[in-house]
Amino acid sequence: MTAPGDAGAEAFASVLAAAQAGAGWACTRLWNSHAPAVSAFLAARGSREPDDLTSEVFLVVFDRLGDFRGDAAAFRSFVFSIAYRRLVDELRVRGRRGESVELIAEEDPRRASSAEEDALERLANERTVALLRSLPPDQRDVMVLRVVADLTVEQVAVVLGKREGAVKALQRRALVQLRKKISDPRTPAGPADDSGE
Amino acid sequence: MVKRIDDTEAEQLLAGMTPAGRPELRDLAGALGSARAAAQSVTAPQPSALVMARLEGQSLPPVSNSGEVDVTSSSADGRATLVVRRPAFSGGVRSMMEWISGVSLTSKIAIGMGVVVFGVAGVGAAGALPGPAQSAFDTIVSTVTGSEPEVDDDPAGYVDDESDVDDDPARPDEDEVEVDDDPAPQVEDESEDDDDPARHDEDESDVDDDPAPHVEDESDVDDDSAPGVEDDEGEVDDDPAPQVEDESDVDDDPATVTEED
Repeated sequence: MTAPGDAGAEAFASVLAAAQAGAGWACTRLWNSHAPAVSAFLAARGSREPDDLTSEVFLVVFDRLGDFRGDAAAFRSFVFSIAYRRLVDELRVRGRRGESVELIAEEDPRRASSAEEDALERLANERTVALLRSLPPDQRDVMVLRVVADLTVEQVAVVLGKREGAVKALQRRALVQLRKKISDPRTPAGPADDSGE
Repeated sequence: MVKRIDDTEAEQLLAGMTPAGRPELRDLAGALGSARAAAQSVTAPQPSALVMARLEGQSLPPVSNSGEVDVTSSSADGRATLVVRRPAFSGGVRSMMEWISGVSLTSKIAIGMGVVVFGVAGVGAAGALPGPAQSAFDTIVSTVTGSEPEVDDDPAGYVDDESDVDDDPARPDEDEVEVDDDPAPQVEDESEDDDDPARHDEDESDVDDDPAPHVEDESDVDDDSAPGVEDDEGEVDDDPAPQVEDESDVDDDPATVTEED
C-alpha cells in the first residue's frame, strides 16, 4: 500500500516523464498546476505583462524539461528559478531603457475584463501585495515567493540562490517591517521600484 | 519592546494563522492570509501560440543558429514533430549589420563603390539616365562590349530617330554585365569624393556599434531571452538539479498537489 505522499510523487513522476516525452496532456498538466502561481508571482513582483512572461517562462521550462531530474518540489523551484530570472531581466531592461507606454486595447480600462484579469487586478490591488512591494528588494523577493508563489523556505533559497538561513533572516525582517506598516496605517505603501525607472 | 518573531511563528503567519499567544500579530496574519488567497485565485493565463503548440503535444525542435528549425528531429514518443520555420530574417539583418560595422574602412569604400557601380550600370542599362549621361553610358557600353546597337533588335519596332544609340530598355542583359568593369574607373573619382562620407560612415558605424552591444548586453542580461529556446547553458545547472537531492515531500505545497490533480 502506498502512502498519499508516495502516490502524489508517483503521479508527478509519471506526468513529468510524459511531458519529457513530449506528451501534450502532460505539458498541459504542468502548465495548469504552475502557470497561475507564476503569473501571480510575476504580477505581484511588478511585471508589466505577466501573462506573456509566463508563456516565455514555460517555453524555457519545456525546452529544458529533458534535463530536469527531481520531484514535484524541485520542479516548482525549477520553474520559479526561471521565472525569477526572466523577471529580473525584464526589470533590468526596463530600468535601462526607460519605458514607453503604448495604448493596448486589452489594457484599456473601458474594456470589459476577463476573470483572469479580474483576479490579477484583485491581486495587484491587494493591500498586502502593495505592502510587500514596499519592502526592500531582498525581503520582497522572499515574501512574494513565499506568500504569492507559495514556495517553502528551501525552494525560495534555491530560486534566489541563497542559503536557507539567509532566507529565514530576510523573512523575519520582512515580517517585522510588515507588522509595523500594518499597525501604522500612515505608512505609505508605495512600491519600492527596483527597475530603476 | 517588540517581541521577536521566531521561525515557527513566521511559518504560521505566512500561512495566514495567528500564532498562539501573539494576538498582536492577528492583523499581520490576516493580511498575509488574504494576499495568499488573492494569489491563489489567479487562474492560468492564456498561453502564447508557441506554448499552445507544446500543450497540444507538438514538440518544437530546437532552433539552430541560422534560425532554422531542425526538421529531422522528432519527439521521443515517435510522433511527427511540428515543422516550423521561424523567421531567421531579423537575425540575418543583424548579422549583416554586425558584419558591415566590423569591416575595415577600405572594404566599406569598396562595398560602396560596388553599390554605386551596380546602381549606375542598372540605371544606364534601363535607359533611365538623363540624355547626355545616357549617351556617355551607351558609348562606354559599345566600346567595351563591341556590340553595335541594333535598332532591329527592338521587339516593339521602336525607332529612335535621335541617335544611333540604342536606349532600348529591352537590351540584352549581357551588355549590362560586361559593362561593370569599365565604369568602375570612372566612378573612382566619385569614390574619392566618397571618402568623406566614408569617414562619416565610419563615425556612424561607431554609433551603430552601440545598438549591437546594446543587443548583446540584453542577451547577457536575458540569459534565455531569445525566447529562451536558443541557449541551454548554465541556468539549468544552477537550477533545481543540484538541490533536488533531498527535497522532501513536506516541501510539496498542498496547493500545487491539488492543482495538479
